[in-house]
Parts: sequence; structure tokens; C-alpha cells
Amino acid sequence: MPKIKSLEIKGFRAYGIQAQQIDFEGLLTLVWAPNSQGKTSLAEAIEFLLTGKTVRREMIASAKREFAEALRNAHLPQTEEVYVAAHIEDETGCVHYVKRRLVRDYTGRDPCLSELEVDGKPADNLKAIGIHLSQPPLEAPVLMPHTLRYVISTQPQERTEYFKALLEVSDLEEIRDAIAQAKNRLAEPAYEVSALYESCRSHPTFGNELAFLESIQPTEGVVEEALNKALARVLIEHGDVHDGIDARLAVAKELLNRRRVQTFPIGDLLPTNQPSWGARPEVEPTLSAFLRAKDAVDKEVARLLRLFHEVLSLVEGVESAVDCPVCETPLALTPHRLRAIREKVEASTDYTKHRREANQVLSNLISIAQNAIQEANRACPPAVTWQEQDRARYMPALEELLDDRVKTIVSEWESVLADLKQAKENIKRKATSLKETIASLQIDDLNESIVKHLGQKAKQLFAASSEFDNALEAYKHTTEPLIETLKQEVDRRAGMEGWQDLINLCESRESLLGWLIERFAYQQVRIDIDEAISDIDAAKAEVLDDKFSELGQEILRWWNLLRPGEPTSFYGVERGGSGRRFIDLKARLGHPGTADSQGVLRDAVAIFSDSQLNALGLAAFLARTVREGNGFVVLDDPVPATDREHRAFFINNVLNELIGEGIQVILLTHDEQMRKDVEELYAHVGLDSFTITMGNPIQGSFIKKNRDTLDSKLKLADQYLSSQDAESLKNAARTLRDAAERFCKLMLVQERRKNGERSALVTDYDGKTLGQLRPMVEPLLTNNTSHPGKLRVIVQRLNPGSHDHEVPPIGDLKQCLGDLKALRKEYLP
Amino acid sequence: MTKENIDLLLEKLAHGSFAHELVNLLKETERENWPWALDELLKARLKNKVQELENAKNQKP
Repeated sequence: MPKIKSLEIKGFRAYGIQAQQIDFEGLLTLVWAPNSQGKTSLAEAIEFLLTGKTVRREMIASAKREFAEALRNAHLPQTEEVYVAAHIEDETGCVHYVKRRLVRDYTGRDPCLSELEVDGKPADNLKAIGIHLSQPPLEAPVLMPHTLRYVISTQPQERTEYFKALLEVSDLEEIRDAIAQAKNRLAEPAYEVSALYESCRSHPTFGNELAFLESIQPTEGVVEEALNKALARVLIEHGDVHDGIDARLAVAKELLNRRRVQTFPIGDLLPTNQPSWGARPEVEPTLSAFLRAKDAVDKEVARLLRLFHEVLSLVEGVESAVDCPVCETPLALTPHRLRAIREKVEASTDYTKHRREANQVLSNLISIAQNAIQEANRACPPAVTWQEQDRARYMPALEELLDDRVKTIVSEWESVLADLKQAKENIKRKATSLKETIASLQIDDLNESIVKHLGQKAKQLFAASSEFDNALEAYKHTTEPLIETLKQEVDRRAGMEGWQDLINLCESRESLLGWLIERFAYQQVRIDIDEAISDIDAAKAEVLDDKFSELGQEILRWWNLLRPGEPTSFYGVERGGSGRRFIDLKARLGHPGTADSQGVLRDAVAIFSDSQLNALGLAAFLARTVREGNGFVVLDDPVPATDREHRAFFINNVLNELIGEGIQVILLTHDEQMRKDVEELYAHVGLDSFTITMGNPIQGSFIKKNRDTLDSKLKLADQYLSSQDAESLKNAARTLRDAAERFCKLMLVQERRKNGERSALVTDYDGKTLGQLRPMVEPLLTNNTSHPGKLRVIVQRLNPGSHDHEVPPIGDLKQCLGDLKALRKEYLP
Repeated sequence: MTKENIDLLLEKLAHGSFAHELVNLLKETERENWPWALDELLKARLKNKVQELENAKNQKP
């Protein structure tokens, strides 16, 4: 399992411009600091190194804004780098240099950015060196007071998420959620006919006949049957009901139209046709091309006259001949010869093609003009041609039907009708004018002026067509609500409301069947998904049960180390319902003599005291640490200073257990008693002890290694003995006496703990002198018969050292140092 | 998604069930492609259902 061998912090939170370093030599490191000196910053620095963020911000969502610029030391110059680095030993014993540099601090909204390097190369994570993060929210093996409290004080659903993260089962929810989201993304089939169906479905008379379409596999027969029954429903009050949907549909349409016509000629308001103006020819370009071709012919004829001179001169007997103007041959150019020449020239140029095209354009223009008049007439609703007597007849009917709505709706309609009528007349004028112009022309009369005139006429007609299109569109747009209102009113008065929708639905039954099929399939797939999700939920619950059972046992193990023998104890982890939203932490309420399997079960969060909840949170965190095979764990004030009893259990049992399992523990505390106890009790395991201080916030926190453990005392004495001046020897004697006392106390504690007294502490012997301790320790030095004597000699030689004026000879002191080192190695390995 | 969890889940699901098919699809698919893979599977299932219903639409009621 990976171990942190050293840590270096610069500019991170409480740490200033001078990089601070800690070397971790053993499995247990103690870092003590009073409050607000940089202790939690140290824990968060390790968390930042591992994850690139701080969980405190992630957990307290409402505080994101408050974490703006939270990672960079506020007093650090902007040019200074902020980083956390470490030497980390992987499972193979290879040490890697890991460094994470802060690139951008948190803003009020955005997360921080950082760059991670492993052995000088960019990395996304630390998996390559064997460090695997847990699932959020607590990804790093770093427990801080706020995260410990989070586990207990958070909302039940968030607590559920935490325990799922502990079990690494949050991903099971991802499966379920991904499928549920895919179900929501599955698009419902969209058909225009669906609105028509819904309208018919809600009809009081025949809607129920359509209802069964929603619960049965749709087929042609089913759809036809439903529509047939619906039609029968509406026709039954109007005489005989014909068999078959088509017959009934025809009758329904006939009845509806007849009734509408009787009431009001709605059809007179409806545009009857969408005009088709035909392709617009290129008038001026085509005719101009013809003119250019014709001009070219004339020039060519003039040129060729010379060439044909010799030929012409050979021809005799031409009537009405003329002299050749070029060669002055009298009467050489006869009409016949000239025609022959022209025919040859015309045949050799594009003239013929252009003439044909010009003719075609003129012909097309005549057709277009005639067509425009017809199309405009056909497109207009009959109301355009209403005469005075028609208006006198229909307008009062319209007013009566529309009641108080008539003023706005009808006036708008009359306005657009007038516009449409004017547009139609305009087309007629332009088309007639164009036709007349073309009819008066011969193609050989064309010249540039005429061509331009024709082009303008054609453009005027095309513009009039476009204006008519606009007027027709405006008419449709404005008239649509009028017609709908009229239809509804007419149908309502006739007791035929909804008939039109049903008729339309019947005529769209192929589309209706297509939509019903797709909708039925869509619903079936959604049902399939729901069933699958239900199956997954059930399977997930089984997986959770299995995992909770395992986790519960692991938490219970740590609970029993923290709070042995209490009648009220942790019982286990159970899911509430499906376990999707709630997970219950169960406590067992027992009494002295109650078997472990007995007692009343209650919700632990409800009945546990603060102290017990703290222990539960810690036990849960440690259970995960072990479960996930973390090589190290950072514990920041894991036990409240006021909780003396459980602090002792934590120090004696939990730390011992963690170290026993080979897990590196970095323990941070502001509790002086905890520091003292841990230093005394774990001195023999190579405890590293540090103190953090912050005299000046601008300079930041400083980390200093403590030197009052047994090993450090022996090392210090060794240093004093390297110098032979009187003061150094006096210090050496005093340091060796302290070391001998420490050795004796550690021996006594070790013995008591061997005998099951796990709460034994070095501080139990505060106030005892070396002389008082020696007789108790001598019987414990059984590995060699000379050892009790060695201790006796040490005590005899060092005791005078307490009197400053009597310093033992240097040789004696060196002998004491050597013997103490040997005894420490022999009995406190 | 850890393989272990998804395998545990598959073990609890009836082989051949739609749930098994869905979870197995996710097991075989990279996490970032899950939405696309699920959408394709569901669209194909919907298409098959529509085709089945189309084939049977001439049946007498």
C-alpha cells in the first residue's frame, strides 16, 4: 500500500512563501497545533494534492461563493507559485515525486484548476502509483471535522449518498438514472392527425367510441370499426344509418354541407384555388439576343455580297436587277440572288435559333397573360363576385351568426376581400395590355425600344401576380378565424359540432393508423423500460443488502474499538425502502447482560448522543479506509477534546489497530492531552511528532519537528556527549536521566497493555522519579540476566545528575547511553 | 462504473430479460457513450415494435 514519505507545502491556505516540509519516517505521525495555526490547512493540502480540490466546498454547496480565492494564501505575492508536493512510496518500494500546482483558484462560481505532475511528467491522477480515489463526496482518505460532521448532520438523502459512496455503489444509481433518462429522451411520435384525434376523442357524442383505440393493438379493422361506430353515433339522429364507413362518411359530409349551405354559404368565403402563374420567361434578354443576331446577319450579308460577286456575275436574265455597289457591275444583284445569299447567311449563323426563341417568348407571354387572368379568377373566393343583392342577403346573416364579434372579424375580412379583388383587377389590366401589345407586333418589327417596352409590360404583369399572391395569403390568414367561427356556429346551431373533425379524421384514417401504431409501440417500449428499471431496482437492493451487511460488520469492528462494552451500540446499515433515497443506520439498545443478537433496534441518528454520532462517523470512515485498501489515512481532530474516555480508546485501540494493519496514520490534533498521550504511548514505534505555529499570518504557518521522544532524547544526549565541555556534559546527564525515566514508563505501559489494560498511559506515571520506577521495571527485564543490573547501574549513575554540581564522568555517561540504547532496542522494538 | 458492481447487478437479473440486456449493454459501453448506446437500443426496439405492429395491421379485430 502506498505511503507518504514527505510533504511540502507552499502558499496553500495558511502556508506562506517559505515552503514547509514534513518527513514521515514511521507509520504514525502526530501533528499538534493550537486552533487556527494551519492544522486543517495541512489536511486540506494533502486532500488537494490527491484530488485537486477541497471537499469542504463540494459538501457545503451553499458556500461555493464563500470559497472564492480560498486556496491561495491571501498574503502571497501573485508571482509566487502555490503547490503541494510529496514523495510517495508505491507498493513496490519505489518512491515517486508528486506535485500539484494551483493554476486558478476557486471563483464564486467556478472550480479551481490545477496541474498534477508525477516524477516531473503531467498526470491526470495518481493511479499509476497505486493511489485510487474513492467515490465522491469524500474521495481522499482525509477525515476532517467538517467531513465527520457532514456524515452525521447532513440530510438523510445526502447521508445515503455518502454511505453509497463508502460502498462504492453510487455507480449502481448511475445505471438506473441513465436508463430512466434514456426513457425520457425517447421521443413520442408526432403526427398532425393526433390533434384531430384528441379533438374527436373528447367529443361528448362519439368520443367514447374512439376510446378503446388507446388500449388495443391498432389494426386497420380496429380503426375502421371505431370510426364507423363514431359515424353511426352522429348519423343515428338523422335517419337511416348506412352500413360501411365510406357510405356513412358520404352521408355525414352531405348532411353537414347541406346544413351549412342552408345557413350560410361558407364556401363563398373560401379561396378555391392556389394560382399557378407558370414559368416566367426572360423577355428582354431573349428578344435582345434576337435583335443582335438579326443585326449580325445584316452585316454578314453586306460582307458576303462582295464574295458572291463573281457568282452573281455569271447569272443572267434576272428581272429588276440592280448594280452591284461594290464592283459596280450593273444590275448584278437580282432579288432572287439576294434571297439566296441571305438564306445562306441566315443558315450559317445563330439567327434561326434566336428568331425561334423570340417567337417562343412572345407566344409564351400571350399564354402567361391569358393564364394569369384565369388563375386570378379561379383563386378568388366566390364572395369577390358578390353583387349588391348577394351582400344584402348574406351580410345580415353573417351579423346574426357572429353576433357581437361581427364588427372586428367582418370588417377585417371585407378589407382583405377588397384588396384581393383589386389585385385580381390589376392582373386583368396588365395581362390585357401585354396581350394587346404583342398582338399588334410582327417579329421583324422588333427593335430595341419595342423590346424594352415589352419587357416592362411583362414585369408589370409578374409584379401584379406577386401582389395577388400576397393579397391571397393575407385573405386566407385573416379569413381563417372567421371561417372557423362561422363553421362552429353553423355546426352548433345545426347540432353538428365536431362532425367536421370526425369527417377529417375518417378521411385521414391511414395516417391515424400510422400514428396509433407508433404511439402503441412507444407506450409498449416505455412499459418495457419501466419494468426493466423495476427489475434493476430490485437487483440493486439485493446488491446493497449484501454490501451493507459487509460494511456493517466492518463499521461495528471499529465501533467496538472506539466504544467497547457500551449497552447502546451500533448495529448495522440497512436500506430504507429500495435504498435509492434512504439508508438507515441502526443502533441496538441493550442493557447489561444482553446478548449481542438481542436488544431493541432504533435509528442511530435519532438516538445516538453527539459523542456516539462522532464515533459512528469515524467508524464508518475507518471502515472505508480498510475496505478500500488505503495505505494511509489523515485524521484531523477525529475525537472531540472533551470526550476524554473515548479519546483514550481511540489512542489505545484505534491507532494501534490501524498501525497493526500497516496503515500509515497522519494524526492532526489541537488537543494537548491527545498529543501527550500519543507521544508517550507510541514513542516506541518511531512516532514522528510535529508542531505547527503561525506567529505572523503574512509569513504563514511553520512546521517544526518535536524532539522529546525517547529516541530523540537518546539522539540529543549523543550530541551533547560529542562535546566535552562541562555544560554539555551536564545537559547530557539530564537528557539521559529523562530518557531513562521515559524508558521505564514505556516499559510499564507496555506490560500493562500486554495484560489487557489497553487504556494504560505513560501519563499514569507522572510525578514518579527514576528511583521509584526502577524497582517496578527490573522484573520486566527478563531477556538477559544482566539487564536488571544494567538498569540499576544507569539509575545509580544518573541520579546524581539531578544535582547540577555533580556531573558523572563522560565515560559513565557514554556507558549509560549505550546500555539505554541496547535496552530500548531489546524491549521496545 | 466498477466491473464488480455491474457484474453483481447482472447476476441478480434474469438472463434474457430486458433489464439484463440494458445493463449488459452499459457494461460493454464506455461511460461517456451510455446515452448514445441507450438511445440507439431503445430506438431499435421501438422500430421493431412498430414493424411488428405494421405487419399485423391487416389482422381482423
